[in-house]
Amino acid sequence: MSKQGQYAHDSKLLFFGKIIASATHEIKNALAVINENAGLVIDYSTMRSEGVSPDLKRFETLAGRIVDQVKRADKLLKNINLFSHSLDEPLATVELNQILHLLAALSFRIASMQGVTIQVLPSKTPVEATTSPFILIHILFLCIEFAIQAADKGDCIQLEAKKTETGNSVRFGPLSKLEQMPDETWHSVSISEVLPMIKTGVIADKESGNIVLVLSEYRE
Amino acid sequence: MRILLVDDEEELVSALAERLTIRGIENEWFTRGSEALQRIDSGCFDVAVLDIKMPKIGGLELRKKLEDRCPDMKFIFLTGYGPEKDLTIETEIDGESDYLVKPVDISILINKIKGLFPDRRDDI
Repeated sequence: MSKQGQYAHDSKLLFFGKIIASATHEIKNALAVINENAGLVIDYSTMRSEGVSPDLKRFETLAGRIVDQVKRADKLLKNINLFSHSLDEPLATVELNQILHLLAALSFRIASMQGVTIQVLPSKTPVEATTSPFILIHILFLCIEFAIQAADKGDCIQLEAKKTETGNSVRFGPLSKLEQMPDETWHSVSISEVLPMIKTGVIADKESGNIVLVLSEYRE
Repeated sequence: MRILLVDDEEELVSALAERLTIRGIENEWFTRGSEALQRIDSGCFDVAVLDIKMPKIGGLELRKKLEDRCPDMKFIFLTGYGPEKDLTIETEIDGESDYLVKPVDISILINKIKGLFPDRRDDI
């Protein structure tokens, strides 16, 4: 493959593109909802000027919907902004629960298209890791993508970060179809290229239906 | 003229339905393809307006299932980005179907519906 071809198919760029495409699709949906409900307000205003008086509560409901969708789009934009800033520092101390919440929000649409939901389990204490934030987010996203493939329609994939003796771990599961997933599926995912970059490893526990990402403690 | 609307964004599809009702166009809306398929068992619609990307059953798959039961039904697809980004739509567009890029302009939607029924323009 030419250098240009390699650049265009760089897994980091593909990952970045996938996240932005999914989030902007969601923003477009929020704008479409705003458009329809604002259109309805105009329709009812026109009817009022023609002597037909719709219930004022209807206006309140429509305005409320518009406000909610503006909040939805704003949250999406904040998440894209946070995600983009993960490239700022090559090495930083991050809180894993915050990153899992960000990824759960950014993967919402990808999961919902497969009929799957994602839930971050709260942890009592912060789970901090010193690492490359962008590579960590990339690996966590690849794990979420794999988890979505290994989940059945209607499943809720839990994400749980924990402190361990040698570093941290993140669990993805339960995954109903993990046992049926051929090993090649896992190896074909570009994760094997990225995992060693920040000293991480993945364990697929087919018996419990969970995959666990193990992050070793950072040492200079 | 009876329109079937299916989009997983409830606040979009319900508002669109209400706007069509205000304009005297009979319609029913659903947020899931499976619900629309159930409804079809008790009678067909003239046109189905379907979102392309929906969980479980997307618009293109839903079209095939609806066509099996209602062969005369026509289709308008709603897409976020249009055929330049959503190439799957291009193959679906013929005299029996059309597409519209979100956000929807209601007057363009109504014109597209009229365009699918050149002999029944006065019905709408």
